[in-house]
Amino acid sequence: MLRIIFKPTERCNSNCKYCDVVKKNVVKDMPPELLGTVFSRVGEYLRTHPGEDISFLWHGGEPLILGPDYFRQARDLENKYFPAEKARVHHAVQSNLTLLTPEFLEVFRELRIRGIGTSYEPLPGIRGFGAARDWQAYNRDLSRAISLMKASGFTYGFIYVVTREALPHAEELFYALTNFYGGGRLTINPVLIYGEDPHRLAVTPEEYAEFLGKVFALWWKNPDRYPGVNPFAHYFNTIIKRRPTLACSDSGDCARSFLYVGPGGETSQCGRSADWGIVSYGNLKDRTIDEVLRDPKRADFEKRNSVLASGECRGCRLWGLCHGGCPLDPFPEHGNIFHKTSLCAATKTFVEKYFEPITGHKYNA
Amino acid sequence: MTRNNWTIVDSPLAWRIQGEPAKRAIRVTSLADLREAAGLEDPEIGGILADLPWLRLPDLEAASFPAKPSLTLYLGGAGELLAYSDKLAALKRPGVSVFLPPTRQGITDLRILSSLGVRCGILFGREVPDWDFLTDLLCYAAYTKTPHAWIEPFAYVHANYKGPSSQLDWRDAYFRDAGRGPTAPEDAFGGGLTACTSCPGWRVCGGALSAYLSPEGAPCREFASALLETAEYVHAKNNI
Repeated sequence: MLRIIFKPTERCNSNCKYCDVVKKNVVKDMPPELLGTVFSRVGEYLRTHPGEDISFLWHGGEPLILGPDYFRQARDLENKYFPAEKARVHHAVQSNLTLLTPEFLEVFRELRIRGIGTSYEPLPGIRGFGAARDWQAYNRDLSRAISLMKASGFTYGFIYVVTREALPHAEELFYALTNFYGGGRLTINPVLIYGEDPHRLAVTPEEYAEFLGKVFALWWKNPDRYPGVNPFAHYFNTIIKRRPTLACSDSGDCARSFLYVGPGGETSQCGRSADWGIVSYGNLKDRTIDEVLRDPKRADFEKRNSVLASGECRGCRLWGLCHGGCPLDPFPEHGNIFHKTSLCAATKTFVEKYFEPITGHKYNA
Repeated sequence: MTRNNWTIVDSPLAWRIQGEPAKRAIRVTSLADLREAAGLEDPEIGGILADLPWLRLPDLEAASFPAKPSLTLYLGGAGELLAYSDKLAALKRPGVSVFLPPTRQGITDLRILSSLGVRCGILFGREVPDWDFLTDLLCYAAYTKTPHAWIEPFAYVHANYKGPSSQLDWRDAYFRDAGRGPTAPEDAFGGGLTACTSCPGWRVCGGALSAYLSPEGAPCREFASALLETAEYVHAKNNI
């Protein structure tokens, strides 16, 4: 499946402390005619790859800032460019939800969307509106949106970003996040800081592993009570069930299956590489999706596996769990992707100090 | 006695007992008012809430039990079984229930009433619960295989818990001032990380025990967690 991370806008109504989009401060939307170009490229790809589906993730910025009409245009463009193939396009939305209205849900239904990914930060002052970062108003709007989604039969899942401020509150945060379970996943990630860290939010790999370890002990007692909590479910599936379901960062196979499209039609490997401005595959105005996926620069992502497996990661018994981690992780330090992730110690510490002893299952590749 | 002494309260509990569309109940605070309300025939009234915390079951009269609308008794205790055994038939009628405070004696009385087939419940908010006794009563309500009548709020939670997406507030099962209900669970979002939202049992409590929180901690936390465990057990049992 091709995974398109589609960012039609860089604008956002929130002011999250750790956000790369906020740091960039770019005010840019994809104009309607370019949206048409993107959808015609998608139609082209669907017809030349009849057996393949596309995951189409609306990302931002805040995608809902574009208003429901923008999504209605997308619905009409599907009917114009790939009416017979649209069932093979699986739309998803990652949104802060604070602008959600019933009109959005109506058009989302028409786009076959039944769930929305969002973020929730119970700690004060990290996510919020305006210069004062009004977190209470933000969470109130999020709460209102969640009530609306529940009443309309939509599901939601959370991403939680672990910052330095979260470290002393691991257990409380876990319960607060899972108490609002909405049928989707809860994904826990470390904050990723590229460049300066004026708010001192960054966590070390060991600190992140300790946070995960505390939370994992709670999750493991009753995984059915807390469904879809990652990275735990990924590790559970991979280590115990032996049916790997690794995140993109650990899968080692993102080279040819991910495509980022930005508001100017520019393409990159993924949202993160675009936010950091470190990989460019040209513009969909000039190139087809196939051409972008065949870009020679993608060969580096494929080559990375063999470089690491015979180099820095050689002999590591956990290789199959992380494949050296996200190729972009080493970029801030090394300026290239041919090194293992800076979060290597987090994976090792979590698996060997917590996952394996707590579950009694040892990872065997 | 006049109707001015009566208060109209929303009665979701009465609705659940009777299986009829939601109705309101009359709240009375004296035996005389209860006697008069028991004789009332008003299709708009679904039940009577007799709020008499200074009384026990032996203090009630036969005339206190209405023929039709449901009767919920908020009492201070049950009293000696021998002293109220003559009222057992009336107490076991559908629509009649007895609510007692969560003190050690109240909880002991509730266990006896439940085992006798009298529908009953815990009257929170007036006495500080004995949390260990309360947890024992919860386990009795959820796990015992001998026949017994339901005990609120356990019955409400066990009937309505549908898995991880559930966010219950058992105050929905209690009488409350007309038009005033608990706030939606999602409203806790805006409050961020609180003793309630970070409690493992929050999804089956919804803040109903928040009156017991203190700067020293959350004494209700273990009980709420145990309530969630029983809810999961009952849910799993019902879905085998």
